[in-house]
Order: sequence, then C-alpha cells, then structure tokens
Amino acid sequence: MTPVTNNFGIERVVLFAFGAVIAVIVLDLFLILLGRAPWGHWVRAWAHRYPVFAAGIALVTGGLVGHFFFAT
Amino acid sequence: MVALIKNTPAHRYMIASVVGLVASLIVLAYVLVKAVYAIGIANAGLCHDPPSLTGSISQITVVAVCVACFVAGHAVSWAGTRSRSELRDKLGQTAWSARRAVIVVKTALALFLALLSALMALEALMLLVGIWPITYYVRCAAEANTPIAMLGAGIFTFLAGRWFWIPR
Repeated sequence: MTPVTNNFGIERVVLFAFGAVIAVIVLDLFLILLGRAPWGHWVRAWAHRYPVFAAGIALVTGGLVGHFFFAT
Repeated sequence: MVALIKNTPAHRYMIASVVGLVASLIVLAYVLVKAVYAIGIANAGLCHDPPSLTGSISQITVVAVCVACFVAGHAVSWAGTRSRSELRDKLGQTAWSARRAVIVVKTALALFLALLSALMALEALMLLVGIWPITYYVRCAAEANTPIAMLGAGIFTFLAGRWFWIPR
C-alpha cells in the first residue's frame, strides 16, 4: 500500500476537482439570482463562435477521462 | 413565490436550471465533505503503489457512465435552446455582445487552457523526476472510492457535453 503521506496529495486532487465544479455552480446561481445570464450560457455562446476549439476541449476532457480511468 | 413563476418555456427552463444547480450543489458539497473526512481519518495509504486501475466498478462501466453524462449534457443544452432561441447565438452577437463580458469569457477560457497546460507540464516533470504524477493521485482516489471518482468524472463530462457539444 502507499504511504499515508500520499493521502494529502489525494485530498488536494479531490478538493481541486470538486471545488472547481462547486465554484462554477455557485457563480451560475449567483448570476441567475442577479437576473443576469449565467456563466454556462456565455461559455455556450463562445462554443458557438469557436466550434473547433470547443470540440478540442471536449476531446481533451474525453482523453483525460480515458487516461485516468481506462487502461488495459 | 407561485406568482413569480411564469408559465413560459423560458421561465420553466430557468426554474429547472436553478433547481438542478441547487441539487447538484448539495450533492457535491456532501461528497466533498465525506471524501475529505474519510481521507483525513485514514491511518494508512488508500491504494496500491502504483494504483490499481481496477476499483469496485469496472473500467468499462465508468467510461459508459461518462459517455452517458456527455450525451445527457448535450440533451439538456438542446432543451435549453428549444425554449430560448438566443442561446443559439454566437459570442459577440445580440445578448452576448457586451464588450466587458466577452473579454472576461475569453480570458477565463484562455486561463483554463493555460492551467491545463501547466498541469500537463507538471505531470511530465513529476514523471521525469520519478515522483507520483497527478494521474496516480486520481487513480488512487478512484481505487479507494470508485463511485465518488465516477461521479466526479461524470460531472466533468456532463459539463463538456452541455457547453461544448452544442445543438444546431
């Protein structure tokens, strides 16, 4: 098994991954409650404007999932 | 409160978005606290060295769930554009033309890509020096608690589907 000190690194990865999503959700809620367009709508407008870049980011996301969770 | 809810597709979509976001926030906050607590009280390492890729859920199931989340994200985006036609507009057009906001969005996405590049460079450096790369920490978390790791991956792929697989 790994040394217990490695748990700190795992904690940081968990905090970063989930913390980033929580921050995005809070920002979206805040903007909706202010009556403004949420962050997600702006990102979608950006994706409409630059579809190739958007496809690239989606591919990177899929590649990371495959890299982290799928190997033979 | 009931009087504030208008019976229009756009307003129903907005209410559904708020309910979905609040529910996601509660679930994520619970998962985050539970995971950090479990890591904090652990007296030993959480996985093998190097981490095993076989957790409590099979790899193919994790990937299938992520693909399903990606498609679900696209479906939610499609539903939104059906009720709000302005969501089909491009950045710089109509509602999305506020100069300051456009700069903020472009800067934020550039920073996101810069962060991703920096993390990949860090990963390469860690591999070169012979210390655990970030990948191993993610795989270790996945080995220790596969359902939570799958939830995290599913959320990211859902967001990718919602934001970057745009409906025509």
